[in-house]
Amino acid sequence: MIEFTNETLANGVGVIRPVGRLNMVSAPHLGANIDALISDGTVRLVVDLAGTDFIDSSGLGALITGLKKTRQAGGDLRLANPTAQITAVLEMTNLNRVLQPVASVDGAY
Amino acid sequence: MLGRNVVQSGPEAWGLPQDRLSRRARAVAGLEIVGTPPEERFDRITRMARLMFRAPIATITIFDGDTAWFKSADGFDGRQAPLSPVFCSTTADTGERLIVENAAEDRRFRNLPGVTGKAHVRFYAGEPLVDTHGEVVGSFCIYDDRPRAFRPDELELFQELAAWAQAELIERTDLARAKEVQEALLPGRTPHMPGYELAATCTPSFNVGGDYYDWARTDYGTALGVADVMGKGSAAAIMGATVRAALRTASELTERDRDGRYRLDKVMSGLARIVTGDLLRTNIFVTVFLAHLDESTGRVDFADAGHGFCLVVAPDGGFRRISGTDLPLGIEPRGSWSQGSFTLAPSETMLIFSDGLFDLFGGADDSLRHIALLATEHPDPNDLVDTIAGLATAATSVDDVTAIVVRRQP
Repeated sequence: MIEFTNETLANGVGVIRPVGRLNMVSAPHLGANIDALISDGTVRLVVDLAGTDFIDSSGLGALITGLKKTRQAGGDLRLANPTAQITAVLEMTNLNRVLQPVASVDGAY
Repeated sequence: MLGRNVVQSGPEAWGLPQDRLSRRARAVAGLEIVGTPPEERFDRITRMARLMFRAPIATITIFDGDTAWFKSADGFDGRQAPLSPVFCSTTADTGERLIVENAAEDRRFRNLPGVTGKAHVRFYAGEPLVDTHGEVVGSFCIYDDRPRAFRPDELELFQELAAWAQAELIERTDLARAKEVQEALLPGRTPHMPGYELAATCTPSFNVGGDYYDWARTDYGTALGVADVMGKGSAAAIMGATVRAALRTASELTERDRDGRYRLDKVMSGLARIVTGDLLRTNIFVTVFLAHLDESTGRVDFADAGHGFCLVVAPDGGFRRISGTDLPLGIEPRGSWSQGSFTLAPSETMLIFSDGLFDLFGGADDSLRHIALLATEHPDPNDLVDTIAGLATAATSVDDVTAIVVRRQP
């Protein structure tokens, strides 16, 4: 249903690419991916949403939780390439105020 | 109903003290399972038991007074049997596991009809099933027509299957009760609103969910609220009940402005003060939309904590989205929430709903147009919420679906 391809950029930023739907079933997997990176010491994260077809409130919850955890660890979590549906949902919940999309994965930090 | 079986059963025939019988009768009644139709989650267990043990019959039996009632019986036709002439009565009586390796050679059982008759039962294994209070309410049974003995690994497997059956039995009761309580926490009778019609629905995706709505009459109109706790199921339901109580408290305690009007921005901030600590600690956020309708003028004051799903739909299908720019509760330790207002014109319909409905229609910008169209096609609020609840059930939505609909009469 959902797959994650993760990589670490030369500048130490961790990139998570969820491919598929981010809903109640898959959101915990996103959370686990974020937790794993943080515990490895990678606290500056980008979630690349180019391949994420759909997000619901559980998916948003996982992103918000990830944001809080990275900030507590001295880092941050930023979004790149949100699809139209994700942008719409972020705007409706006003969560674009805290999860502001960046222009590109490379330029996220 | 509870006492009937007890009185007729003649407990002395089983040698059971009366108080123990009535305790069991109460426990079985509490399960609310006797008479319910077969369910796959139980039938799967008996089917697996038959396959694994290569035995002709496996049952999940409930002790309903003097009757053995089968929640699931694989390899056996019938839903119930008198309890006394079957093996289960011994399990019911002692509350302990019973394994009979060869009934034909066991003095206690060799004359049972099941042993002497066509069924030709030789082997029986019965594990008591207990409820959350430890009361024996039934048994998990395997029958074979040949004498046999359980190897230690088979005994272990048998106990595992029995534990599974017991867990299903208990979970059903617990969740069914939770569902009743959650439904009872929704407001009851629809208030009479002169010049307006009001209806609402709340359909959880599981037994219980994280959505709720609430309303209250005020001295100059009606207050409405919809909240959507992130996540689903029991965890969301616990937080939903917390938010509901906090919102009622905040509404009571918040001072009105000098004209006597409610200040929903202050109510929202009050709610945030009460629940934010809990939300941050549990990593849960909640979106809330509050509205107050002044019935004499159609003026609606509102406050929106990241909810964003309020539509005003005109009879011609035109619609506008009402929303604020404030965050949901539980995102940041502190925040502020503002109040806006608009007028609900005659023949217009206001819908406040949760993202479950939004997702049912694809979860993108286009969904709002579909929802507005649905409201145009079903101008009667009761009809509209019934349609929405029907969609939520038919689509087996993965999210809770909630909607409050207010229509101003022409």
